[in-house]
Amino acid sequence: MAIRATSLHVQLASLADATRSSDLVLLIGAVLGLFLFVHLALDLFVLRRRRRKRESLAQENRMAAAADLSAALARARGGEEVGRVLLDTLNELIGTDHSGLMLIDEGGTEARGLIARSDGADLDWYSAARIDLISEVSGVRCAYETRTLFFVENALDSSEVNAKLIERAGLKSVAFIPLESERRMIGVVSIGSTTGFLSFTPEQLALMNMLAAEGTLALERTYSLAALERALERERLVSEISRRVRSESDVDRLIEVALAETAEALGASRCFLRLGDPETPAPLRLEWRQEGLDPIPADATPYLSVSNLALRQGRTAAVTDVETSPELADESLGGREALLVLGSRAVLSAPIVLFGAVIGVLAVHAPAVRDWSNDDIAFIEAVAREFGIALYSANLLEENQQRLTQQEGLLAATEAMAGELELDSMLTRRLAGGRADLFRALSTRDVLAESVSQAIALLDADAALLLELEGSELVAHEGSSYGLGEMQGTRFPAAISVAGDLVYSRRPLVIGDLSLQERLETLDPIVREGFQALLGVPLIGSDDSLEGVLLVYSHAARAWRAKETEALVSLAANTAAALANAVLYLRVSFEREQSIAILSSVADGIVAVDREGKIVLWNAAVERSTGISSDEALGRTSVEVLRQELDSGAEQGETSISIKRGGRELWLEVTEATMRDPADQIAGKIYTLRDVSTDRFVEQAKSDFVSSVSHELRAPLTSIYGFAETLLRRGELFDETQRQTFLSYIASESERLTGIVDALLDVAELDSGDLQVELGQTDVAHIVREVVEVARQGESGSNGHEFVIDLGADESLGAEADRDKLRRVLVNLIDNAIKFSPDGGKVTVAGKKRPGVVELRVVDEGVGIPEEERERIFRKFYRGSPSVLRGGTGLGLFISRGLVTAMGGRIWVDSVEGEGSSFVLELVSSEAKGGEE
Amino acid sequence: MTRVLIIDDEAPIRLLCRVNLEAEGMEVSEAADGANGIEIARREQPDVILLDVMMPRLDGWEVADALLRDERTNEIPIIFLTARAEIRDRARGLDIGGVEYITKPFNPLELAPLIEALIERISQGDRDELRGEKLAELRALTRE
Repeated sequence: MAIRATSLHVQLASLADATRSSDLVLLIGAVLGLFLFVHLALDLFVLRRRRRKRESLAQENRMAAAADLSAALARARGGEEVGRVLLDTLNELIGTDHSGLMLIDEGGTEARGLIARSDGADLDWYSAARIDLISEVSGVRCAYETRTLFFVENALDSSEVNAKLIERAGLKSVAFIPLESERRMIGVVSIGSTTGFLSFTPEQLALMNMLAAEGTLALERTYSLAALERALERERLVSEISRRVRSESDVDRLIEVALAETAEALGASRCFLRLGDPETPAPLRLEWRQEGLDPIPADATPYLSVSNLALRQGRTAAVTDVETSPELADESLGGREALLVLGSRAVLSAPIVLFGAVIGVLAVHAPAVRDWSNDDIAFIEAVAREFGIALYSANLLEENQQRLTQQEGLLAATEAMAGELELDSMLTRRLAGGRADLFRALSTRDVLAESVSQAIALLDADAALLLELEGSELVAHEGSSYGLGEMQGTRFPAAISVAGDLVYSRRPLVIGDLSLQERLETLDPIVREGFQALLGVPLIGSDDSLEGVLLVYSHAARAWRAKETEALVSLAANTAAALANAVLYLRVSFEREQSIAILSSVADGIVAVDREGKIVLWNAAVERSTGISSDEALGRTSVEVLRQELDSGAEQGETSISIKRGGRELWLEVTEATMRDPADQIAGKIYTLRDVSTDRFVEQAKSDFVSSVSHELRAPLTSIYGFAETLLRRGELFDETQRQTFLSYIASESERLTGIVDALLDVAELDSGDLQVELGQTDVAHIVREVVEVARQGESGSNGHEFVIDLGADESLGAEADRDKLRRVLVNLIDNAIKFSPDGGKVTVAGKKRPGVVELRVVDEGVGIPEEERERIFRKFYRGSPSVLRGGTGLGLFISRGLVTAMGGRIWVDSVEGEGSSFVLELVSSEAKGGEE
Repeated sequence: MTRVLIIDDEAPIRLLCRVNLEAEGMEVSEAADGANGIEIARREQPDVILLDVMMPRLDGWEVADALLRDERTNEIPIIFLTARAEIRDRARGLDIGGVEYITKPFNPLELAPLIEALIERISQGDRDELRGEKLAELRALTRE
């Protein structure tokens, strides 16, 4: 079959890709083959069964007997009953007059008589019969050890049977039948004849075996049932202890009962509880003992070695025999003697563990050697657990009780009736729970809705309505009703209706049965809706003014209790306070929003800090000037955010601080003011930050400008004044040539002075927009030659630069320009070129025509201008970095750009750093101009 | 004969000093920039140096610093000659180790007597005292 199955499996596997018809044919063949095989196998099986049945026909009687026994055993309750049924059946079917059943303990050391039947009666002595399976010779032992039926025809002569028992039973022939369950040998049945010698046929022996098997099953069932029942009983006991633990407030009484029950359940002579940690000889808390025993002396605890062991190890200690247990060999536990003196031979002890810590120990003592079962151990551990819980909850209960007593002391004193007390505490609880929710509601609508829903929950009412007093009317607002349909906007005249009564009396209105009050029914539209009971209370505001009414309705007539009225009054008071709170919140939040809106919109930066210096406000202007968002700033201190303390330490004042933004220095002018709370404590500080970086930059630039203008003016003045003084020296010290040189210096330096003054005037004009240009056709080439010539003459001595004019093929370059202004621009550019190139360097002035424009370039061989400087150099007051600084007002390029722009042209710089600069000047070509006209 | 080195980037100023000092019988050498000036000072060991502050590349402060740091030139008294008139500049000059500070424009006729007097005092070993006096003057000015 295996082979076939495999081949089929192969075929099936190939089915997956069996797309060809040949595969399909193979597959069908395989399936047919399998079918035939299975059919054949079934036939064979049935035949074999039939044969077997035929062979065992002789046994059918036995089987029937076994079935009968099985039925009878199923009805039997308890081991003895089972044994009786089994033994009687055996006696009857085998034809014997004596049979007995011995049970074997789990360890296989002893067989105990359970029941014996002789002539239809129990043998009384048999249940006390014991056979030592280790040392005594017996048929039982033999059957037990061989696990097979064992037959002795002449029992009196046999050395394999227990002579005493045989003699006592008066047996002549005997058979021993082992009762073997799946797990173990549970017992041995002996069956025999007291009247004559018997020889059992194989048929009889087979029957015995069969019946014994039935008996074994029944016995095992019985004993497992018993075990189950015992376990259940113990469960019940534990749960009973557990229940008491949770209900009994007198913990000593509880322990006492629990100890007694534990002792009883375990068949112990003593049971006690010690409390304390393993480090101390935990003192005895309570002990239960059998009558007639002496109590354990208080000073004996160090010698209670088994419970000491359990304490020390934190786990259950089970000692079968105090005298021999190796566990007690450790003298530090307290030895064996004290236990033996107490009359205890076996001890079982479990620690009481609470939250991982050993807090005590529970122990039971037994007067005789005892092998504690797993059930016993599980039981004592369960009890110990419950003790732990009991002790813990007893403590809690005690604390809780104290607290409750304190809280409810006054209340309880005035309340006599238990029912009232309960109602009151329920109402109090509901009120207290709801109060927080009421105050959590931040809009009046939410407060109203919360209030009516709480009123319903508080009094289990069917409907609730909260009306606010507005003038002479009571008005229902959004959310202020429950269970009454849409009420929003409904107005009731305060003069009439039920609610009106409240307005005037300002006292609770309690109506248990409206049908008795016809007047109200006609007056109140809500009452007409079919409510039978009503409870209404006024809503009194903080200034003792009436703000509205709170009403609850019930469909059924209802006797409102005083406590309920009080509770509703409290709810109304809470509601009034919560409403005031919501209004206040609204106002405060509005004011807050308003303040924030104002503060965010002001142009100056505003920063507010709380008393701890934590930033609570960081407006948009500060965000803009510092580049730090309010998210980053809020909740931190200014030092953390700006790396700078804003607080000057003074109550108020002005300071300047500088902070870094990126690589740039930012100057902020800080004005501070202290905010104080109503108790005159500092509540925080508020700072206005004004970004004065630009102002400061301009200030600095102006100051630098004044200083450089002063220097620029002083230089030519020095020459003019100096040479004048020199010429005025007494005596003929200088020849004519020298005097001419001095005078020419005086002249040229005066010109220089004029140039500086002109430049200053240009700036003033550019600044004020008064600059006038007179545009006209200008020969740029001519002006270039003129200016370069002057420069060449001006250069002398060691400074000498080389000047190159490159005007290409065009001898004239016509542009629309102001002749004078263009000259000034060129002078400026060439001066710069000289200033920023090394001595002897080449300065090239190139000009050419391009479509529509005339382009001039002034090229030097200086250090060049870094990319980032190329726009900045055209700014007012800008001067090169100190390494290339050589005086100057910082106005040249600013003026040049101004002039060129005024002439309709452009000026910029091309430069390669380190390879010199090329200033490019673009003017409108006069041809283009002419073309336009 | 007193030998004076003028370090100034402006040719007219150099000429102005030269003619007036030579008229008083002094020997004058010139340098148009700082580096050149330091070189000449080392080579010629002048009795006094007139040093302009605002010069391209090496400015007067840097030149003075280099001269005073070099043991070949640190004994030569330096007179700052500058258009920078602010007190803080004058203080800086003295702080660096200059002995006198002349603000442009100045009367060239007073240059030679000033140099003579200075050399006279320094030859008597009063150099530090002189600087102390100048600083005291400055402090008085600052207080005003």
